[in-house]
Amino acid sequence: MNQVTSSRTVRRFARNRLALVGLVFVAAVALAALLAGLIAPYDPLAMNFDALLVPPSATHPMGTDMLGRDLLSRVLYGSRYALLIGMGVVVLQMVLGGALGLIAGFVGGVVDSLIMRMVDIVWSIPGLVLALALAGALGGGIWVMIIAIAVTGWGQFTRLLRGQVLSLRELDYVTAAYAVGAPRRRILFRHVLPNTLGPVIVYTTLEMPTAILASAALSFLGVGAQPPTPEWGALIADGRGLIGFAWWVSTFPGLAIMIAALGFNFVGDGLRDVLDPRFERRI
Amino acid sequence: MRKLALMVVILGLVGLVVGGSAQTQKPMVTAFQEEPDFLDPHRTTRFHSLVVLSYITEPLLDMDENFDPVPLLVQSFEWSEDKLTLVFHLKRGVLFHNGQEMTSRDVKASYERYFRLSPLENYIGPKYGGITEIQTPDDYTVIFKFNNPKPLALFHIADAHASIMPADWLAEMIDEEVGVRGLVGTGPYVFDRWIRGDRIVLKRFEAYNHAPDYMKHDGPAYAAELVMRIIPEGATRLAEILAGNIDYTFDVPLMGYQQIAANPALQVKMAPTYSVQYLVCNMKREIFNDRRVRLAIAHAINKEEVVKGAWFGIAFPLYGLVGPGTTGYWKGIEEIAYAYDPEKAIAYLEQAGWTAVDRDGVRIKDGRRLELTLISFSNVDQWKAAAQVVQTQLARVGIKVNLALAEVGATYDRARAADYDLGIFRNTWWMGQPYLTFLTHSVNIGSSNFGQWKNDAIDTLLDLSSNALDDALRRDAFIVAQALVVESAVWVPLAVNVNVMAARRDVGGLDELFSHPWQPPLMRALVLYKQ
Repeated sequence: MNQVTSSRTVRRFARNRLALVGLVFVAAVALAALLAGLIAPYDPLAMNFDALLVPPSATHPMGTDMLGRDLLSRVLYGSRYALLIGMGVVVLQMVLGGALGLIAGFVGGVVDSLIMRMVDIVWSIPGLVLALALAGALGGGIWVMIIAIAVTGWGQFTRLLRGQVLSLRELDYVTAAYAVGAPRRRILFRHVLPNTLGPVIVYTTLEMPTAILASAALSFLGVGAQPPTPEWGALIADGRGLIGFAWWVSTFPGLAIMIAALGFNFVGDGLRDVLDPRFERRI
Repeated sequence: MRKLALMVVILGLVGLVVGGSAQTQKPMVTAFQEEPDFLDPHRTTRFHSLVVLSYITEPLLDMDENFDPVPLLVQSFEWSEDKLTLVFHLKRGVLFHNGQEMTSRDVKASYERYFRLSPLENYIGPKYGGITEIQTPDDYTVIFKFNNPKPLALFHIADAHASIMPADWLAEMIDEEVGVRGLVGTGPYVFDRWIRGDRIVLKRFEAYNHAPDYMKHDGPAYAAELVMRIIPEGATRLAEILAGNIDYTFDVPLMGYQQIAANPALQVKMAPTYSVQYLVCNMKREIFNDRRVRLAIAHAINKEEVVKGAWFGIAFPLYGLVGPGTTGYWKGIEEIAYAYDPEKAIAYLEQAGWTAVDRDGVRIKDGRRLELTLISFSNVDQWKAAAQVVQTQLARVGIKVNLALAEVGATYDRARAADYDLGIFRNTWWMGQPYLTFLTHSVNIGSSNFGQWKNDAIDTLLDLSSNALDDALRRDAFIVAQALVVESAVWVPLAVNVNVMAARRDVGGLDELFSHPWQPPLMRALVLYKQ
C-alpha cells in the first residue's frame, strides 16, 4: 500500500464515527492492560477480610468481591488476560487455519478436498461445546483455554484464505508470473499472500471479540481461568450468586467485556469498510 | 355458651388427631445443591445420596437425640454376655414398597450385600473380625455371630448405609442397577422417578407406620409427594427459595442468608453440624515426607479468615478432624491444634532448606520452586472461596499453590488416584470413630484416606477405639488418635459449618425436627408438614 493510498484509508476510517468510538474503547482496554501495574489501586489478589462485598465507594470505586479484593484492580488486570487470550487465539487460528487455507487454495485437488473436509468436520461441531469439552479434558487454565478456542475456530481462516487464494491465482499478474517462470513458492509468498492481508486483518479484528467472549463463557462455566486469576468471565462467575445484593461484583467485569467486544467489533467493521471496495459506497 | 365453645375445641382436637389434618395431597418441594451419584445404600459414600435414600430405605436401628441406638425395624434386641452374639427380634408387619413383608431372610441378604460392597463398611463385617455368621432361625429373628466383640456395632447397624432391601428384589437386580433403576425399601417414601440433573420424585408410602419412638408421629408421611429438585447453582437456588418455590432446604446458599432471614415469608433454623472441611497433604508426594513442610502449612493457615471468606462467617473454625457435633468429640483438641503463626511457618520452611526466594516470592530449594497443586470442588462457592483463601495464605509464606478446581466426581476421581499435592475436602458423619477411621486409617488409602498415609500408631489407636471392651480405654484411645491426626499435620482442619435450614412459613414440624441434633432425613420425612 503506497503512502497516498494509506493516508486515504486513514481518512476514510476517521470519517467513520462508530469506528472511532471502537478505537477509543480498544485503546482504553489496551492502556488498562499496559498500565494495570501502575494505575490499579490495589493488588488484584490481595484479600481484605474486613472489607468483604463493600459497595462501590471512593476507596473501592467498583466495590470489593466476596473475599474483599478490589474489583477495579481486578478488572484492570483482567484486561491483560482478555487481550492475551484474544490475541493468542487469533494468532493460533491465523497460523493454523491460514496456512491450511493457503495450501488448500494454492495446491488444490485432493489436498484441497482433504483440508476442506477437515474444516467441515470441525464446523459440524458447535464451537463452544467443543471448546468446553477440550478445556474440561485438558484441565482448564489460560493456555488451555486459548488452545481450546483456537482449535474450534481455525476453519473460518482456512475458508477465508482459500477463497482469497482461489480468486487471486486467476488474476493476470499471477498468470504472468507463472509465464515468466517464477517459482511457485515465490508466487505464493510474493504475489498471493500479501494481497490476502486486507480481509485477514478485518477478520482478525472481528475474531478478537469472539475469542474474548468465548473465553469469558468458558471461565464462567468453570473450565477456563482458574481462581484467583482476574479473568473477566471468572469475575462474572464469582458474582453470579451475589447479583441480588452485590450487583457490582458481576456488573463491572460484564461492562468491561462489553466495552472490549464492542470496541473490536466497531474497529473491525470500520476496517472492513475502508479495506473492502465493495463497501466503499456506504461511507 | 362456654360448653359449646369447649365442645368445638374438643372436636377440633379430636379431628386433628384422628384425621391427621397435616396430611396433604400437596407435594413438598425441597432443593439440593448436589445431585446424588446413585441411591444404593450399600455402595454410595456421598452425603446427598445418603439423604435421599434415607427417605426410602431404613436400617434395623436408628439413633435418637441422645446418640443412643434405638429400634427402627426391630422390636427389640439383646446381646449375649460374651458380646459375641446379637439377637434381633424384627417388627412384624413391616412392608416393603413392593408389598412383601420384611423378614429375617431380607436382613441376611442385605447384610451380606453390604459386607460385600460397601466402601464404608470398616467395622462389623467379617473382614474386620466382626459378624462372621448371620442366622435366621425364623422369619422374625436374626442372630449376628461375631468373631470378636464389637462394642460400637449398634452404631454401625444404625447407619442408613446398612439399609434393608428385599432379598428377592436384590436377587433380580445386578448390583449397579440398585439405586439407579429403582430402589425398594421400608421407608416412608417410595421411589417414583429420577430426572437426571433436574429432580427426584418420591411418593408417600401409605403403609408406613413404624417410626422410632423418639418421633411423635408414627407415619405415614404428611406430604403425598416429595419433590427433590437438584439446583447446583447457588443463585438459582436462592432465587427459588426467595420466590417461595422451595418448601424447605438444608442447602441454603450462605451468600443469601441475610436476604432469606429478612424475608417474612420464610423461616430460618440453624444448628451446629457434623460436616467438617479440611485441607490435606498427599503423603505420596515426597515433599511432605519432611514434617517441617507440613507444619509450615499448618501454621500458615488462618482458620478465622477461611470462615469469614468462604462461609460468610456462618461457620466455626475447626481444630480436629472430628467436629463438635460428632460423637466422641474431644474439646482438648483446641489446645493442641497448630495456631496461625506465619513467622513460625517461615521458620519451619527455612529449617527444611527452603531458604531462597525467587522474584515471585516463591521459595526455592535445590533449584526447585515450592509450587503445589491443590484440588477441590468447583461447583460449590464455599470450597472455591476456601481454596483461594488457602492459596493466598500459603503464598504469604512463599508457597505457590495452583488451584485445580473441578466438579465433585472429577475431583474425587483425581483424589482416589492420588493425583494432587493438596486437597480441600468435606466429610459428614455423626459417628466420630468410624468417621475418623474412614478419613485416616490406612485401610482406606485409595478410597477416603486422602492423606494417602499409613501411620501404625493411628491405625492401632483407631482399632483400639473401636474394639476395646473397656469403655475408658476405648474413649482414651480415640482421644489420642484425634490428637495424633492433628499433630501429624497431614490433615489441617479448616471449618465446621452450620446446618442452616430455610423453609416457607407454612411448613410445620421444624421445632420437633431441630430437637434432634442432626435433623436426620428420616425425621425430615416424617415430621415436616405443610399447613
